[in-house]
Order: sequence, then structure tokens, then C-alpha cells
Amino acid sequence: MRLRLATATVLAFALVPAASAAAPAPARLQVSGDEFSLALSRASIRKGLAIIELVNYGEDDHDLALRRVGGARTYRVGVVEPGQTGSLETRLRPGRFTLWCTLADHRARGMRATLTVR
Amino acid sequence: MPLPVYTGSFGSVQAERLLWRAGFGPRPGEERALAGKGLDGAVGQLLTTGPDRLVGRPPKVNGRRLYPLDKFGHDHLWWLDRMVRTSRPLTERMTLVWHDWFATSNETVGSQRLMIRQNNMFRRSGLGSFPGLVLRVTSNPAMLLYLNGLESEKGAPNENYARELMELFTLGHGAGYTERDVREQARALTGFTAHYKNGYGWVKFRFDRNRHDDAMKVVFAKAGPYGWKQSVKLTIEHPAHKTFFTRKLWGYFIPEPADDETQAALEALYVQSGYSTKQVLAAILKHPQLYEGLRMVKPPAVYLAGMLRTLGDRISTEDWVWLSIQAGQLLFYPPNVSGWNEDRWLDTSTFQARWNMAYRVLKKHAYHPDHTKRGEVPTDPSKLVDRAISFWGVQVSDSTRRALLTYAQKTMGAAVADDDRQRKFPPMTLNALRHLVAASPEMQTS
Amino acid sequence: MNCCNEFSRSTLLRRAVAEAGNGLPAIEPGMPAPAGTGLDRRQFLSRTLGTALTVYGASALGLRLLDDGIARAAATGGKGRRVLVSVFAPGGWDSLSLLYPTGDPRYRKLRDSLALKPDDGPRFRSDARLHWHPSLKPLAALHARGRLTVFPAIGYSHPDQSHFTSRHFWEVGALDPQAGTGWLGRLLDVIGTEDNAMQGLSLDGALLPSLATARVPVATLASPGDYRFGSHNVWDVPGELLNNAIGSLGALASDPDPILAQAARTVRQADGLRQQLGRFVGKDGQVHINPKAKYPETDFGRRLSGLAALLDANFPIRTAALTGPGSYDTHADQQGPLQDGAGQMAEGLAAFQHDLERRGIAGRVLTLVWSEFGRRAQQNDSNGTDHGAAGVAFLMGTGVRQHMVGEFPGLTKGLDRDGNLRATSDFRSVYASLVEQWFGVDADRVIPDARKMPRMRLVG
Repeated sequence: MRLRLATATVLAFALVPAASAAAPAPARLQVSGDEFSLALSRASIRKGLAIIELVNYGEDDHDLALRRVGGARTYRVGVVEPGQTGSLETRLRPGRFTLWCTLADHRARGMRATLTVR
Repeated sequence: MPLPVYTGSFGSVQAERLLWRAGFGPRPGEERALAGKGLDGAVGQLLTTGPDRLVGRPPKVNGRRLYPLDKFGHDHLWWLDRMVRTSRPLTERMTLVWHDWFATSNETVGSQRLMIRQNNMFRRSGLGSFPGLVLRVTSNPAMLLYLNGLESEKGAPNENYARELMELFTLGHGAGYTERDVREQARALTGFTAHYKNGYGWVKFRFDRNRHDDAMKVVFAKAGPYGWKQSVKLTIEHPAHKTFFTRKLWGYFIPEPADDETQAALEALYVQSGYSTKQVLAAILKHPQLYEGLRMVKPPAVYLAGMLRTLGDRISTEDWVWLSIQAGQLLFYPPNVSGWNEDRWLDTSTFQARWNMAYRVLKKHAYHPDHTKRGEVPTDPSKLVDRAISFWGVQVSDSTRRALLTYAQKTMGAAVADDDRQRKFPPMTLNALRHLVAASPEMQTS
Repeated sequence: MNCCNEFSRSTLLRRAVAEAGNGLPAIEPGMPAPAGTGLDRRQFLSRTLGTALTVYGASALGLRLLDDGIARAAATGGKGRRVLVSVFAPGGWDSLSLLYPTGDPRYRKLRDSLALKPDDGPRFRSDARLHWHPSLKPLAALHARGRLTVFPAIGYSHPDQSHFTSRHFWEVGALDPQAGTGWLGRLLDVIGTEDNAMQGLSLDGALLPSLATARVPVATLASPGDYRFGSHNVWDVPGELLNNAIGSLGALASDPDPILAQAARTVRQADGLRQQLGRFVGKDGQVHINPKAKYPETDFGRRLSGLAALLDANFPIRTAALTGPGSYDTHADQQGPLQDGAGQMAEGLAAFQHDLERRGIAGRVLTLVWSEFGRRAQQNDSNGTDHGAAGVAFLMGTGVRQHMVGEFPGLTKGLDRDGNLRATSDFRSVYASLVEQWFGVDADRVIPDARKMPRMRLVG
């Protein structure tokens, strides 16, 4: 397969304050996906601005959804092809988040994880 | 059989070659300082272990620090930064040697955390005893994942690690072991396990007696209820090992095989020293062939880190990730368990990638033709060439110098009697000359 | 500089390991990564260089000057020589949509949300049950003109459903996870020469594994326009003179230090290659190849039009390989991606064929289009399809003899236990037949167990 140049990057900047000069560096989390599991680079991250990267180590397409337990909003990293990465930048409130792949039956087959935001 | 030692003059030229082979090239003036210590002093300094001091500004990419555990490519940048800023270049270079020798790819491991953990183990233990290192490698989480160690248990041994332990890590292909030895060693190596924590990955790597096959095995025609430590010990004590180890280590520093006497002396030294990597390394680094023999092509990571080290530049862009892929060496992703294939370090395709690396390095140092003041850059072709060469602090041959001079003479010749060109061509010529020096055969090799 | 921040893992994987002379990674069935298969069994780690344009497999050449080879390659060329082009459709394309069996009674049941209607696409002239996917109209037209052979159910026995493993089988031309050379590579080892890297051209950023040889060099080239050397803040005369200066850095090619000499030679070869390819690049840096047909504005179109130009200029290419457009691993919502990918594929292929015909060189070029497998007959619940077995392949050219090879087996008796299409033709038979009929080479020298493979009359 060719070197693909496109990245699936979803930016959700709406909540970033205008004066961000003194803002702390964002928290980062890497999610490795394959058939059929998700693995997080850390079990918990700090609240506030976060960048979440999905690396598709599998053979099939995967995506990533994130939702705070009890929350209504779903954050998404769009479909990422095998060997590609995609990321999402957003603000996260403290709580427990569920992460999963929304494609086909991937969630049921094991592509799910939980993350604590402190 | 005494080991030959280099007895010629040890000046800046020799110190510079040593710093390239045993590190990532000199910082400005470093080769002179090292030359002042003499050969023994220089090698002794390089072999000193202990905490590293990273010199210079830490990385900043898109205004932020690196996230080596949490962002693709930042593992590569993290290590590249260490190569650029290290005060223990040989420790760092040996880490690269072990990464190639015990090649493990995050392609399979899928965890930058585990890869960096392995990398730090190489950095910490790389100059100690070789068997000690092999024991650490054998129980290393990234290696257990890479060569199926976790899938190997009593009754169902997986031969992958056992085979590579002998074939690629300690003995060499077909060197005095049989397929039966592979199978028996695989049984001896059973028992490692870990827990897959859903949503987090592999944790709690450990040896579990219940998964280990503790029955008798026959390895190299000797029977015993061997476990994983004995398995490693048996391979180290195998008669083929000392030859394999010394040849392979030699090959990382000197491109032609050692003569028979040197080879025999290195093997004797290795065994007498209790399998000390450091002592064999010291002998290799003092050997005349390193200073009088052929040049070597710099691996892409060494070429890139070396340019940044020379210029005192920090890691400030993620471009190094894709440029390193193009050049054929993305750290933490060797192509397979036998490591990188250095035959490809320099061909027409990777040469282009190296050109592009130099382009990216030079971009921030380039003069802007419209904003360069008269007199800031010389107009004399010969002086322009001198400036470009001293920019890199490299020694170039007469024929390369001639090629550079011809270029400068032609561009400046085209600027005669044209005021605009007189102003713009010198900085452009200097920019191009720096790039040409970086691409020169002398800069690609050491 | 062209740029990218991402990588393709599979590219990395395959490129790094697929090297002529070093072989492909052995692949354990079901295990995608070549970990532990340790192909490169070096006894001694020589740090010397392989010489170069022979981007791959150069070491066989020792110290010979390859720039002479390049120059000769470009000058004398391969007039009249037969060429085979391999186009890979990555991901395992859904043959039951590309050639949909609307006349089969079970089709609509198995494909309740994906089924196409009889009117959607043109009839397939060789089997009344089948229709062409609407995006493949250009292929239907080629088929009608006798320029296309269709293999409606091609595969192999005991199909493997891993992308990597199945693709590897197709690439090496054998059901052998350990095979270390590609089938086109082995063909080149028989018909090729030691100083012509252009004979096996990978039109890709990487060497495609089908081309991996054991003996002779092959090359990779993304596009004639990709091979350029520029410098920051250098333009006008200094910029124009820069490229010649790079070549002159190769003056050390006769230095007594063989490694320095080889490094210099690499620089010179890089410059030689740039000059040869520079014939197709204008002062504006754009590629000028004067295509004789209208190609789609896609990467695939550019690569094919570049290939047609190289062939027309008599570059001595014998086999070329490239990856086609699209990504066919359509587990979910497959209609859109399939339509887009297949449409670009068909348009590009048709343009290539027309271009070759108008250039008057179509008689010596054959193009084989393949995918690692087809997809499951029963669709899944996500408007997609999962990995299957037999799929569809095409052979394009003015020399093809057949409209169809192998039957469409139908969706009742034609499915295996797993609900996948059974193969009615074996890709190894196709390879063996092409090796003999197109290249006049004994297939036993290229395809393992070729004597057990039935032959099909494909060309001539």
C-alpha cells in the first residue's frame, strides 16, 4: 500500500480560550487499535485540553468514540485506515470515559476501554 | 596474541572519525578536545558510563514538548534528541547497536511505552556483560511480545525466540545447533506470561513456574532440566558464540572483517574478560583498522543527528519522522528481527531522502537573498567555498572542493556586471554550497 | 519537498523487507507481521554499500558502474519487447458487487441492503447472470472490444482470509508463507539482465513485493517528476546550476577508498537518474509526457500515463507493478468507497489502454488487475462485507484471447462452508500461462509446481 498522506484529524477548538498563552500543555493519550482490542498509553489523564491519537495497528479500518459516563456528548476520531493515525483535540471534564470503535461489531468484539480524567 | 593498537598520530582527524563511529559526530571543537587526551584517554572517556547530561535546548515541536509515549513519531524524536544532545555518545550509539542487534519493532509490540522501556534497558546495560544483557533481553516485555514469548508455554512451546536467540543474537545461522536444539531451547524458555488488561494492553510481565516446562531437555547434546537462564547460559558458552559476538560487534564499527590474528585475540579477550562488551569494544576502538581502514556510511539516524549536533540545533519539527522513513530508518521500527539492512543506507532513493534531510536542517540557517546585507557574505568563490565547508566543520577532498569551487565560480561569473545579482547570488551560492557539502560523499561517510 | 506527517504501517513493513536478493518476509499464516521470521540471515555484517540505482538488488552488481546501465537502458531500450503490468487492488475487493450476479436467485437474499438492480449496470456479455458495477462501464466497453479477459471467480484452494497472507500468496505466486521472491521477480531472474534496474519497475514509493528478485536488480520510481533536487533560498542561475554541481560531487567515484567511491557513485547515479528522467520534466518542474488519452486526475492516472510515456520512449521495462486506487476492505458502508475506488480504477485502466493503442505500442503490453481475495457472499449488518475467498481479476491488452476464463460458480453450489465464493480459476495457472505464452519461458522455472497447474489460453 502506498504511503498515504492524509490524516484523519478532528479538531474541536470551540472551547479553547482566546488567551491561551499561559495555558498548560495539553494532556495526551495514544490509543492503539487492532482486531479487536484497544490499548491506551495511560489509564488516566489530567482534565482540560487533551489530544487523543488513534493509531491503527490492525488490518481493518477503525474509528474511536469517547463519551463521559453519564454524559451526552460523544467525541470522535473519524475512520482511520490501517497504518494511519488520526487525532482529536478537545477539552475533557473529570470523570470516567468510555472509549470504543463504532464500526461494525468491533465494540462487542473487544474494541472498548475506559479512561479516567482527573 | 596481542591485539594490534593504533600507534599513529591521534589528532583531530582521528578523533573526528572516532566520534562518528562511536557516536554522532563532534560538537564544534569536540574533536580537538578529544584529540588532546590521546587515544587511550579518548577511548576511556567514551567508555565511561554513568548518568548522561543532555546539553542544549530541549525539543520543542509546534510550541510543545514531546510526547514520546503518547504520540506517533515522538518516540523517534525523543531518541533523536538524545543522540543530538548526549554527553555519553558511545552509550547512545551502543543503544542503537543493540536496537539493531536485538531488533524489536513497535509494528508488532504496539506500545511506545514498552519500546522506550526496552530502549532505556539497552542504554543502562549496554556496556556491561553481554550475557547479562541477553538475560535482560530474554525477559524484556517488548521482546516477549515481538517474538511470541508470551505464547510459549509448557506443552505448546513457541520456537520463535529460541530460534532467533541462537541464529541472530548469539551464534549465527546454522552455527553448531540443530532443529532439535531449537525445539528443546523453546521448551527451556517457556513460562513467561503477562496479563492483558482490556483497554490498557499487556501488564504484569512475569515468569510463571506453572507455565514452564521443567522436564529434561537435551540442548547441544547435553541433558538437563534447563530453564530460561540456563538456556541463555548454554548459548553463551557454545563454542560458536565468541566468534559470532566479536565479529558482529566489530562489524558495527569497522567495515571489513578483522584479520585472523585480531579475530583470535578478540575472542580470547572476550572470554577472559568474562564476556565483557566494554573490553572488546575498547579493543575495537583502538584498533588500527578503525583509523587506517575504509570509511563507513553513516546510518540515516547518525547522519541526521550528527548534522543537528554540529549546528547545535534542537529538535523542533516532526518532519524528521517522515524524512527518516524516506531515508530508511525510523527508530523503533526496524524492518524485521535481523535489524536494518545497511546495504540500503545509501542508494539513489535514500540519497534523495538525505538530500531532503539536509534541506530541512539548512532551512533555518539559510540566508535570504533579498535580506542579506552587502558584505555579510563574501563574493569571492573560494571564500564562499571555505565558508560552506567550515559551516559543517568537515574535511573534504580536493576533488569535492574543486566541484564546489566550479559551482561558485559559475554562479558568481553569471553575476558580473549585474548589480542585483551581485547582491543576491552570494547568499544563494552559499546556501547551495552548504547543501552540496552536506550531500558530499565525505559527509555521507566517516 | 513533498511532505507527509503520517506513515503507512503496511508500507513501512513491506518496503523495508521486500528487497531483491534479500527476499520477502516469510509470513506465518494469520500473522501479519514478519516478526521473528528473520529473513535477512547475514553471516557477517558488512557495512559496505550496495551500489545504487539498482535501488534494489544492487549488491549483485558489485562495483560495476550502474550509471552506464541506466544510460544504456534509456538509450537502447526495449523496443518491441513484451511487458506485463501488475495492478493491485488493495483490501480484497467485493467481486459480487463489481460483477454482480443479479440473475442469481440468492443474490438479493444475501445482499439485502447492498444488492444492485439489473438496470444499474451494463450486462456482462459472457454470462447472462452477471452485470457490471455501474462504475466499471469503461471496463465493460473494453470487454466488448475484446480487450479484456475476466476471471469471475479466481483464487486458490484452502483460501486464507488474512490480507497479508493472501496478498503474499498472490505476490510470490505460490501458497508458501516462506517464499522469499515475487513471481515477477523470479521471471526477471530468468529473462532479465544484471545491469538494467528498469526491467522491473515499481511505480510506487516502495518496491512492490511481486517484483522482489533473487538475482537481478529492479527499481522503484513513484513518478518521473518526483526525482528532483532543490535547495532553500536558491533560485535563478544558482538554482539552475545546482543540479550539475550535484553530479560533479560524484568525482570521487574513483577514490581508492571503495566506500567513499561508492558514496560518490551513488551521488553520480542519482544525478544520472535525474537527467534521464529529466527528459520528462519541464523547466517549470512539471512532468510533460504528452499522454495520448485523457487520464483521470488521480495519482493512479499520473503513474499510468508516466508508465505509458516511459514505454513509448523505449525504456527497457519488462514488468511493472503498481497499486491501484481505492481501498477495498469494505467492512462497513461499502457502496461509496467501492464506487469511488472502482470508478477511478476503471477510468485509469481504460485511459492507459487507449494511450498505449494510440502510441502504437499496445500490442506489447498486458495488464493484470488483481486483489488478494473477494468478499463474503452474505453481507454483514453494517452495509459492508467481510473477508471472503475467490474474487475477480482482469487481464487487459490487445493481445488477450478470451472474454472469460473460469465460470461464475453461482451462489448456491458455488459457496464453500464459510459462505465464500469457490474459485473456478487459480491465479497460479494464470501466472504459469502468462510466463509461457507472453514471455516464452518455461513456467517451471518461475512458478513452483507449475506442471500441476492447468494452462489456459490467454494470449497469442
